[in-house]
Amino acid sequence: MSRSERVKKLINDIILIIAILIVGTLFLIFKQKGDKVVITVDNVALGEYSLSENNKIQLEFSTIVIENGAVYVENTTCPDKICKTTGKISDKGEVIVCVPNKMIVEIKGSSADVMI
Amino acid sequence: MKKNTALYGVLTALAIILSYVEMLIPILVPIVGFKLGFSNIISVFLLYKKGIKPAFFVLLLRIIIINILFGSVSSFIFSICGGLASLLVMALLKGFNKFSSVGVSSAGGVVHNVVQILVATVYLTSKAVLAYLPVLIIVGVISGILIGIVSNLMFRIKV
Repeated sequence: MSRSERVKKLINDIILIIAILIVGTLFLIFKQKGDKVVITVDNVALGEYSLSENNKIQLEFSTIVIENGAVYVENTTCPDKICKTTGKISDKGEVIVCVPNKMIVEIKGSSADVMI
Repeated sequence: MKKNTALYGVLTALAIILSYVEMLIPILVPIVGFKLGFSNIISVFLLYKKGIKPAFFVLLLRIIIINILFGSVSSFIFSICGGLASLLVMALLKGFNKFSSVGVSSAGGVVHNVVQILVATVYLTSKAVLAYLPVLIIVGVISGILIGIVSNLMFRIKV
């Protein structure tokens, strides 16, 4: 491979990588704010709450707080505490998962979901 | 033929070890499918040195063995889909002859992550994926670049 061929390839590489990064950030920008919080434990839906209403939901093993358009887990008795370290979520599709308690807190939107 | 068999055996073992080492790294981010893809070094290396068929078989063997030892049926499905898609895309890009191995590897990294998470979505019937796509894409590119650079260093080896 000659030097100029190598340079051309490098330039193409950079273009490719930048294109991929742009696609990645586009997804970041077009994240939609959600409006419903659905809490599921062991595949049973426990409740649906509005993201815009401040709320505190007490479960057997953890407390889920809805505050200022975001959801997070405040206290939990589970061993991992990954659900707590996940922090606040507010976008459609985001989840907080607690594997030992089989709990999923998911944010859904009311607008028609696009099927993948 | 004998020489190649030994080579592929060694590379498969190496890929398995790399996969295992990757497993030992603590998951700092609570995101499904956050992988660094160390074993892709072997895939890229084989793709460039011997072609897609050897690369594919070593990949397949590595995925089967790792999942028998450490994984489940579902992790096997995610791995095989991600790995296969990644290899096909890399072979395609390599065929164009417009990119270097680093570019090819970075694309491979992204495809692997994205396909894996898409399969996980279908499998778990949960659309929670869209929130993670941007992070996975960015992580995929960066890890792909690093993997590509390491693979490049290996190209000097005469096989």
